[in-house]
Amino acid sequence: MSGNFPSQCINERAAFKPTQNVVELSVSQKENAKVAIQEILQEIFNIFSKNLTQSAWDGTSIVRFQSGLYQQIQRLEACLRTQMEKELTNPESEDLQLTTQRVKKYFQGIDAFLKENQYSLCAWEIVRVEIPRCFVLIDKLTRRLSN
Amino acid sequence: MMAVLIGPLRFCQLVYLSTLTTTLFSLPEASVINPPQKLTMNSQNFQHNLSWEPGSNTTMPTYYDVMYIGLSGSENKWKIAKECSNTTRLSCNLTKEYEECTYTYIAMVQSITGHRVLNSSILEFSPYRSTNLGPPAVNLTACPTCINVTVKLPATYLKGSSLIDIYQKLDYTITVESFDRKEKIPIKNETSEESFSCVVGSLHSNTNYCVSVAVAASLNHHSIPSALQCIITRSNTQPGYSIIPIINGGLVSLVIGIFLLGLYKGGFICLKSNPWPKALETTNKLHCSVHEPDPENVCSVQIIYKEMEKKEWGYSSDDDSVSDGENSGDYTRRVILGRDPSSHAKSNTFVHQTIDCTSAESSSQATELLSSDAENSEEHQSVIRENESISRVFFHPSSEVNSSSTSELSNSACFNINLNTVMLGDPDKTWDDSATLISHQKDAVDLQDSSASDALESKNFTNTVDVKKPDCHNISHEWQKPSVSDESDASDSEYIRR
Repeated sequence: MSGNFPSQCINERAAFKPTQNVVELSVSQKENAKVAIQEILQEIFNIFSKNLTQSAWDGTSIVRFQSGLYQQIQRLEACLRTQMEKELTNPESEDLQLTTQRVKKYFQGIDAFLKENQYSLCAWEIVRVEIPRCFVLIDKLTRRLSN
Repeated sequence: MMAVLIGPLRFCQLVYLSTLTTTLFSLPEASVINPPQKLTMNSQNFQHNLSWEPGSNTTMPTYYDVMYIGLSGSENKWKIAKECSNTTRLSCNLTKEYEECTYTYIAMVQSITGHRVLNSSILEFSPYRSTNLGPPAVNLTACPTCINVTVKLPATYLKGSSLIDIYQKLDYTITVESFDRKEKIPIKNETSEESFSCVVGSLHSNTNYCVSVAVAASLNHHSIPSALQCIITRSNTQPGYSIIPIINGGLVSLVIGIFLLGLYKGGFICLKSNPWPKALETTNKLHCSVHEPDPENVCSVQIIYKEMEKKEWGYSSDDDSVSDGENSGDYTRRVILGRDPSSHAKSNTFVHQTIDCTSAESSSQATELLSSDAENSEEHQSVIRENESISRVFFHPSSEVNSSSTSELSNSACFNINLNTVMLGDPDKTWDDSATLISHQKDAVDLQDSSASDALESKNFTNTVDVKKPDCHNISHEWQKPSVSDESDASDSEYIRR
């Protein structure tokens, strides 16, 4: 899904201002990292389930992307249920709640941007450029899990 | 009038249009200039080089500007790369411009040809996901069945950041293949260090293997593998590592040393010579003193025996003293030539040859006697010859005795012997038991009679002969011959003369 960013969409780029630099999102505890990852994957899945008709991407690539996301989410949820039962994770912890809030806000901003631009081509392209940075964060959090 | 004006006006428009059309059609290839094309980003370890090709039909000098935007940074204005503005080159280094490694950047090349400004298409690039990682620096060391691979990650062109700083963890793949490309062993692992090593084991010894290492990140699979390095699996033969031969040499010399020590302790090797036993020490001195000859006057004495003829001989039995002048021509002197040392146990044989020691007057007589006795003395000669290996024991040892030739008779010394000083006896017995020659005259004669048939060598003297005071000048006696041949009669045998 990488490609050439259309030059006409450059002007619209300024309209998109993410709530934060998602790469710098930090998680204090290892157990909270799993929760954060699961949250992020779920949100991405939700975003890319929206109206993609005006995007320049072909349907096969979209489906492949969605199913990959879905598999990872399912595995992570099973892992988290075990963790919850063992009471390794406290859903009430501040740090966990803070992280979850931040993730949710971030994706709400993306969703709003898409809506404002009626899920136009340029809007989707701008979102497409931003989402890979979420994966950088996920990669970072995954490494924290193995430490 | 209006019709006249309209006519030329229309004609002018027609000319104008045709001229314009002609001009337009005449310049189609020359005027269409294409923007720069084929933008390519060549990135390695976060060093980014953008290159492009000029648009077709560009003949006039063209200047390029490289513009970029960091899309992730909410920017929407093109920025010009400082080092690549108004450049005629077809490449631009954007390492400094793409400083945020996780951003997605877009770049565009603007060409200025005269007054025409043309924009190229946009090239999107995300360094984090798209830069080529590697090649790493690889060092190989061999062991008998393994290879030790040391890998050092390349440096990045991002200021103050290494690959581990950016990616935290990298996956590496070591590919070990045999020289003939038949075996390929990929080894995958991950690292969090800038420099790491890995031992590839279970290899065949003395085989040539080639190794290549590639590094990659989880979100960046673009990698450049290291060049193939080949090594042979064998033990270290480096110059400073010949410890094993040195140890072997030391062990061998130690074993030899212990063996030699054991031999020495066991007495098989003697470093010192055996000291002379104390008991024999005095003997040593005695030996020297015993064997030291007394400085005595030793004279060569030759006693010559001659077979006497009756007629020529005559003697007086009662006279001890002998003088040279009394019987100058009638007596022969007997010289003992020596004796055979080998038969001294059996016999003390004195072989003598007679010599005529007459004065000058009777020298002719002596020669006559000599010649006449030549036949008779043959036997003696033979006997003498048998005892050729005679050594002088009693007399001066240095003088040699040659008893084989009668010609030597003339060279033999003539001298007077005082018989009072002459002793006959067995040299094996002590010299104390000695008797003078004269007193044993009769015994000697008796012996002669009884042993007439005996061989020369078998006779033993019972008397001792002692030359205590050899007086070389007074030899007055003839000595008695112990035994004679069978032919000799008692009367013809030697007699003792004074």
